[in-house]
Amino acid sequence: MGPLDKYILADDALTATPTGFDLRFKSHWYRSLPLSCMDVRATVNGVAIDPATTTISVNGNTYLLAEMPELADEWLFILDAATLHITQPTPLPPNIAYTVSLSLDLHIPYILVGAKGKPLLASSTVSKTLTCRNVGPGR
Amino acid sequence: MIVQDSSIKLCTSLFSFAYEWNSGQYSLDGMLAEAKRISLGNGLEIIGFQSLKGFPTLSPEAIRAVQKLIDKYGFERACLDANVDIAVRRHRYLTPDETVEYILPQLRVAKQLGFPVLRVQLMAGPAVMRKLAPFAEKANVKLGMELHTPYGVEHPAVLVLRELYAEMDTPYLGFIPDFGTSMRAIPDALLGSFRAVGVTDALIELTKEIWHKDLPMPAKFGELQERAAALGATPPQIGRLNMAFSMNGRQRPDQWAKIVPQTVHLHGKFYGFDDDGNEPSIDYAAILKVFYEGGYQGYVASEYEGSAFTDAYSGFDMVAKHQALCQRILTELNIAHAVSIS
Repeated sequence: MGPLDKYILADDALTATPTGFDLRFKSHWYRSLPLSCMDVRATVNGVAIDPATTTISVNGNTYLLAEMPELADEWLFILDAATLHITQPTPLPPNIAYTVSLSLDLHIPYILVGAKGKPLLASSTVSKTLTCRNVGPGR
Repeated sequence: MIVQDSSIKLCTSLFSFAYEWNSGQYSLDGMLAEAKRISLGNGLEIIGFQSLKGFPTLSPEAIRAVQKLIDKYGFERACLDANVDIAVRRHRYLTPDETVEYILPQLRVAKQLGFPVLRVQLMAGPAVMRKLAPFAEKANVKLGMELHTPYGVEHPAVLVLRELYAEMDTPYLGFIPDFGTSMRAIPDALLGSFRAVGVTDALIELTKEIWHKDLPMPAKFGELQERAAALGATPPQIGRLNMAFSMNGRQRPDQWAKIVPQTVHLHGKFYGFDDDGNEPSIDYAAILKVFYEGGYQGYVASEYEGSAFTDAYSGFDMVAKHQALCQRILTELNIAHAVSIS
């Protein structure tokens, strides 16, 4: 979408955990928004993460991805990262490079556009080669 | 010749440093230190949801810490920006009463931090503003409705507010004109971002041609859709080109004269400069003259928006250039004024 996209995925965003892996991301807007204004999707080496089993942590609180539209009071400060926890049978092998793609749709709550006055959709997709760091603490 | 100080003062909006802020390289202290270093004026504008974690729920300690930082660098508090997030819930809009409740904590922070003006946005309609007015008066904080394009002074939504303001006749209800509402060209930074996604020069010329036409917005979108498709533009490209119309207003600068008495702050939007230090897409001399001659006394905040389209420039350098431009124009206005009364 624009220059702020470069901050969405940091070089150390991918970490193996005992139950799979974590993926951290930041928002590409200029100000904080609550989780209710976001949709997130990601792939690792082309395999999509499963929204049914993935959870998201911000401010020390953890939710199912499916809960995000209801979380109008859980804010992601613009300088903070949210963490996706992806569950799989074994930890993601660390110290290997993966192609990670993350799409973040922001529904801007104060800019309404079009005949129906829908929130502006500010969508960004970034792809990056990330080396998976060693096993973190998990959830 | 002795020239009196202009009644319009310079101000830095931290919005201008979005690219630097999001990098995570600055604390609020570091950001204010750098802003102070490059600022010609003492005014400061902060966007609550950008700069203050937890906003608008801030502890007394957090409030004191921000106060201390603002004072440390000797900034004058010009404006705190609220956001009117009526679509913060995914499946329905906030009601007017809920919108009032959403804004009140932000108004409280403005009071606690000592900001004289709270920026609000057009999603707060007349019903909301009517209810907020007594709270603003009690807090001694003026509510400044941002007039961002497409909300020019004659826009129906603005006309309704002007009627309300006339009826309530209180200094606590005002406007914040945004210079992006009255532009003379599409910024090069935006055009460059079009080229980056493969838009051809022919399409850019077409977009410019339609932008300059005196047509209602939907008619412009329609004409662009038809003619750009004929030139081979893809739907995503056309969607992007629509931004040229939606982000860059064409209101005549002299139209601002109608609301100068209700103006409580100014957003000096800008995108870039030519070799002479002028903003090619916004006629600063013409716009500032309208507010100067209308008797506006307050700040013009430097609001750099180019970082939405390019990372080729430092926000700090751009604000320094913007304030030099504004100061040059204000000095010229002061000299002209001094000559006219001598």
